[in-house]
Amino acid sequence: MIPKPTEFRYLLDSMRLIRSTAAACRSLALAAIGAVLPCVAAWAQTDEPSNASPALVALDRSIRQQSYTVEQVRRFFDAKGGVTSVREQLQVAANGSSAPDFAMTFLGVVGEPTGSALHTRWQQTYARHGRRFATQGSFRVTNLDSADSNYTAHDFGPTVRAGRSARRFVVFPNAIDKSIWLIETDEATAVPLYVAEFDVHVRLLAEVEATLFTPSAATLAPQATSAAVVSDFQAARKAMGNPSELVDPPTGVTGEYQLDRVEVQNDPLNGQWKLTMTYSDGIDQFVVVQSPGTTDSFATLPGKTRGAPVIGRYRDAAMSVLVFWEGGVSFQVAGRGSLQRLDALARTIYRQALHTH
Amino acid sequence: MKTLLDAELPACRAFLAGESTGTDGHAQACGSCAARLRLRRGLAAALRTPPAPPAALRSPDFMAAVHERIVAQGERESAVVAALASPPRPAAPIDAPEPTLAPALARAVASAPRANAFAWSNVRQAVIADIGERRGLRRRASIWFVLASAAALAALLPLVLTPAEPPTIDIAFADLDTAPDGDFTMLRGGIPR
Repeated sequence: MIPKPTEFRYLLDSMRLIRSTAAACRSLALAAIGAVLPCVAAWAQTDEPSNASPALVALDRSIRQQSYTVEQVRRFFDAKGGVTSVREQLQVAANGSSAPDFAMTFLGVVGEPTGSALHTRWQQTYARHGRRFATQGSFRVTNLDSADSNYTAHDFGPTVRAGRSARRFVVFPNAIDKSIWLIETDEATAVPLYVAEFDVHVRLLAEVEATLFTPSAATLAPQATSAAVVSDFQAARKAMGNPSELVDPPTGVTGEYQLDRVEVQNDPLNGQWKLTMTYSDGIDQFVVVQSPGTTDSFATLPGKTRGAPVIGRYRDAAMSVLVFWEGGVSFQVAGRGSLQRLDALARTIYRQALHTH
Repeated sequence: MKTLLDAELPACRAFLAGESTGTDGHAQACGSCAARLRLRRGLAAALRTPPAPPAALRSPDFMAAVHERIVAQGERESAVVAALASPPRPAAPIDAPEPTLAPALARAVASAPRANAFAWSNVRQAVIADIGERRGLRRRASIWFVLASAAALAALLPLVLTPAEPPTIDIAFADLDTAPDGDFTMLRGGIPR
């Protein structure tokens, strides 16, 4: 049946309308996809868990993204109650990772004249251990997921530190054998301006206080270091010339502490190798240090003279250090004072060393 | 004429041995064997046709009378039943030996009344129960033995299958008065004063 001319025109108009509507819908869909895709991609690229504490998230982000220069006072507390305050300058150049480039400079000992014996000793100490003060000497989020599962951050409101607006947080561990942290972070950059470490009895163990903060850093000159970070234990042993006496600590005995860093160091003074394995629960850390080619300096310990294996143990509120020697290797397991589970770890490593040799 | 005693002759013996074959060559010459053959054939014919019983025995009345007599005899107390009802008793009292039984006890044993059937039934039940109990005890003991063996096997099997572990080494701790030198000691306490 052939349609009439009026009906034919009506059909053509309807087809044109449908075609234009479909084109408009297609354009809208493409535009919507184009707008949503970058958002989805950006969301997919962020590896932050949605339920992580905002304070921990901000601290983790500042480590990755914020460059700054800070002058600060680091206070060391000895077992007899004495305090030593050391002034230092820390320059940080963020590189997107959790291990930014940095430079640590010794400025002086509070109350000690420049050039004194104590000043000189501290200067030498900073020249040798300054990097470790920056990486392990204070509060630092090394792994956001682990930190969020092992700690809880509580916001205690605004404050002022180093002339800048800051927020005060208390970070509580979920386990009772770890330190409690009081932190004041810069409101604008989330960089810690004050860090105080307390034990479970609320005794002050360590303190770092910023006196001058600048949210930028000069270009850092590469600092000479004798330490090299490697991927794992096998790479470290290979770098050290494959000594057979080294022990790879079993992963099952470290609990929520995961291997965070493997470092190989050759002492420029005596050419001795040292392997440092750092374990972290996201914030707290302990180290297992192995130094091959050393003599048994603990041979005269009580009990050791009878031939029985003995671990030398030093423990105060601030640190636990366990040392033993086996097969020409000096072992040291060290962490914060309340972390008494290090005793069991040291014993496990010692048994492993006895079976290895 | 030869008699049956002459059958020991070899020809007669051979004829008797092959008699079943039906050859009667020798019987034509030997009178004894011919008579023997003749008697055999007559007896066979007589056996093929059994004699008819007398008419009196074949009457239904005779068979009914026999049947009635059997039933009547069965209804009466037979001698066997009477003998079973009254088992023979010893003719004289039991002569118990003097050293083992006192005379009074021996007389009591000899003149003891027989237990009735109900008492013996109880004894029988008790014996059966005792045997059953012992059998149950043996069964339970067997089950416990099997279970204990299985438990011991299960306990020993891991020890046999798992490789021998090195003996546990006792490691002692010796507390130190001062912190050993090291990076971590420096990190926490600074330089010693």
